[in-house]
Amino acid sequence: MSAPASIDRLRKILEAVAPDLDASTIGVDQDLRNDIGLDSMDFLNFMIGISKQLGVAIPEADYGKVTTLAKCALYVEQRGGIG
Amino acid sequence: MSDFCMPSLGADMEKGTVVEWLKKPGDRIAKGDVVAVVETQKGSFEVEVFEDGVLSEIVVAVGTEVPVGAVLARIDSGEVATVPASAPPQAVMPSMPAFKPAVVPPPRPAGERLRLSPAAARRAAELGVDPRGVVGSGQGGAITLADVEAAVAKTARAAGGKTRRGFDPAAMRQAIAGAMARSKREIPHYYLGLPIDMDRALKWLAAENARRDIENRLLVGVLLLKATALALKDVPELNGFWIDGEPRLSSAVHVGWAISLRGGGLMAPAIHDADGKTVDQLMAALRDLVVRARTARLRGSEMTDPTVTITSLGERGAERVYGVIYPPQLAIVGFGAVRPAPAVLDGAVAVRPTVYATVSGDHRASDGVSGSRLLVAIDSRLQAPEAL
Amino acid sequence: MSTAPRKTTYREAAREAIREAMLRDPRVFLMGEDVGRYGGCYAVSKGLLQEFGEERIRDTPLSESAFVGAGIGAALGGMRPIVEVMSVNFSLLALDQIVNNAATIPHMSGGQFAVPLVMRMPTGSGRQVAAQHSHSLEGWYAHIPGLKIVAPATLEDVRGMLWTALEDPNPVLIFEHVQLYNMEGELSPAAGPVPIAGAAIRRPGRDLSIITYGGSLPKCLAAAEALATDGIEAEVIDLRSLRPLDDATIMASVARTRRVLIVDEGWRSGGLSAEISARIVEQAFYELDAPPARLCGVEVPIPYPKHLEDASVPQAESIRLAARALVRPA
Repeated sequence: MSAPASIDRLRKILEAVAPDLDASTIGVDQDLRNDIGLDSMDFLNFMIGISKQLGVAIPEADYGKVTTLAKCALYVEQRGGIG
Repeated sequence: MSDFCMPSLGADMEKGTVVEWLKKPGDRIAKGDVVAVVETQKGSFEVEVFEDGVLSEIVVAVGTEVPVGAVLARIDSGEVATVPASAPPQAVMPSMPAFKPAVVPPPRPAGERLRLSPAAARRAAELGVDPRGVVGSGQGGAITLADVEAAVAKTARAAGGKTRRGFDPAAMRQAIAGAMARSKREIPHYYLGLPIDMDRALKWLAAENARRDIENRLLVGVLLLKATALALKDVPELNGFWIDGEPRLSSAVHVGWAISLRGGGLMAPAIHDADGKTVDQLMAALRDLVVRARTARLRGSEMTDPTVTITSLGERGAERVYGVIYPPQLAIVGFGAVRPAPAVLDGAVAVRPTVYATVSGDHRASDGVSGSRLLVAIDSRLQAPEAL
Repeated sequence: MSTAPRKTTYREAAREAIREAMLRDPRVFLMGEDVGRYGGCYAVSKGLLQEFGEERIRDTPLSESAFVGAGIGAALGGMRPIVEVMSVNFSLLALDQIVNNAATIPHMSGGQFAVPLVMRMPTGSGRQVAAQHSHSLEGWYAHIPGLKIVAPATLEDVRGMLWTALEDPNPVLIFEHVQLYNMEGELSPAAGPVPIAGAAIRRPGRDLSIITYGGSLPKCLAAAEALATDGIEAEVIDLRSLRPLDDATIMASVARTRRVLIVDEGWRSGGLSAEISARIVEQAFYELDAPPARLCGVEVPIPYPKHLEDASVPQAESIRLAARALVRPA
């Protein structure tokens, strides 16, 4: 289980790329594409935000491992991205 | 003296409300400056002027609803020749009088060229912000990357809540209803479809993205966009407008890219001259448009400029989309989700990543053979992704 | 033997490097003008003649072309010569040997002949020895394919670059700035060979990148300290190798700081700073928040009087002012 701080940072990044979303209402296990409605551009911008702010570059091949906030936090933490 | 009028921001717009004036009487304005924010059924748009001059009078106050064509303000464009006293003197070589008339350019009006650092320009494009109006702290007042980020942070703080300016889902629904009903009432559509093998394009894209920084990764959508824009140069009869009972073809390809909004509704703002842009430029333009569409910061002209529309369903969802033409355009190109599908290769069935491409054409302006040629041209462009 | 760092000078570290090479490899020998009996015009080789004898510490006639050519021949023949030229200005008399022979023979022989020649030359101003002994011409040599050009600016580098250069099959030119010889500092007795490739970040910072090498490095570090009191954090990059240049380190730094000042005692026109600036614009244009700035030697022959000599090359204060203007334009 990821620390709440990690989820909060990811929410902030998400809000920056999708300003029309209220990220505080997004559940950690909701699918960002299917449930939240991020399109491919939003999702790419989210990946860029993570790379810039948390220093973890997620390769395209791993997009399937970061479909929710919870999975995303786990992925980033395992790569030393949130401290 | 000339009039600045309520613009028509689409075939379905009849009236609009000025919700904000961004210039005040006495302000010097230049072609392309955003002077007002106008609210329509489709949301708020920034409206720009098309001439240089001085805003002399505001006719319509904030909050007033007026019909398309009503005078909103008056612009004094008389003394364009006046040069600001602060314009820097031009260096002239006194020893070369013979060249003087030919080589000395007219003084550049102050503020015409934005001093924007390369890093700031890239960041502004990523964030989808208009750097004009950002106060620069760099050399000679140049706008730096930090200036852009500070301005964005300030706007975000000022915005506070989550409500998007001027967005009313019900009004948006009405606007779409009007335009689509008119389209189906007036435009005799023909529909064509072609499954396109995306194996090469996706392999090229995967290899390209693997070697690129994350910020520079490409989406499959830009390949579809570029391929379509180039194909339209080959099949120009589908690019333009139906006006006054006849087709008016456009030599420029301004692609309206359909963006669905999470609050409900749809917009298709223009990516200008898409055929001449590199995939990286298209990627930047697309990113900019998506962000501004979501934050209601599109320009009025971006809504009226498209000469054709593309609707792409992205990586998931339906296999085929047969679009409804946005009047007065002549065609809409649709792409379904990219998915594995059986294909016949060399007489055997193989599974290939496939996108189902469609075109809906205005049968008054063109015939099915043109639509067919367009789809074939898109297909052949996508088989050489490296050339896009 | 104690491993505690001990106080030493750049000059002594240079001498220690030669001693180590002589002890480790019998093929190594030193030759040049006044390197033996006189101990070298900057006293780098003082005492080595007594320790190693006339066979291996060889005084040469005053003919740069002859003794550099002899060095090339010795290298071709399997020796590991260290050839000292008294000043980079005098190396112009051996330009034909260096550029037309040393740099080309490995290429023209299709790799059959290596030229493991190492040349050491003092360079730069600051010792009041006037225009014919004070110029910084290493940028010229950095133009020549086939040569490797290094500029040790720290005790560790002057101690460690020589052995690595001798191991390299290509001719390597080591430029020692004359103002560094008296530089004091602590050096571990265990200090040994260091790579000759790659730049080093001598001081990390977030607000601008100062790119420099050789004798200008201590000045840039002093300027960076002064800037820090002003709230400006300068990153200082020591190029170390002038050919090849370490583009990756330069571009990564520029991408972090977005502003760059290149400090080079050599002249601006057609100089090394122009090359670095062009590469930054080619490779990192979209990272920049301001045009790359350069602070170089004034385009005059280096003057003899002290105050004019000081005024003709970048100093800590002029570097500080140029950096400040880049980060906080008036």
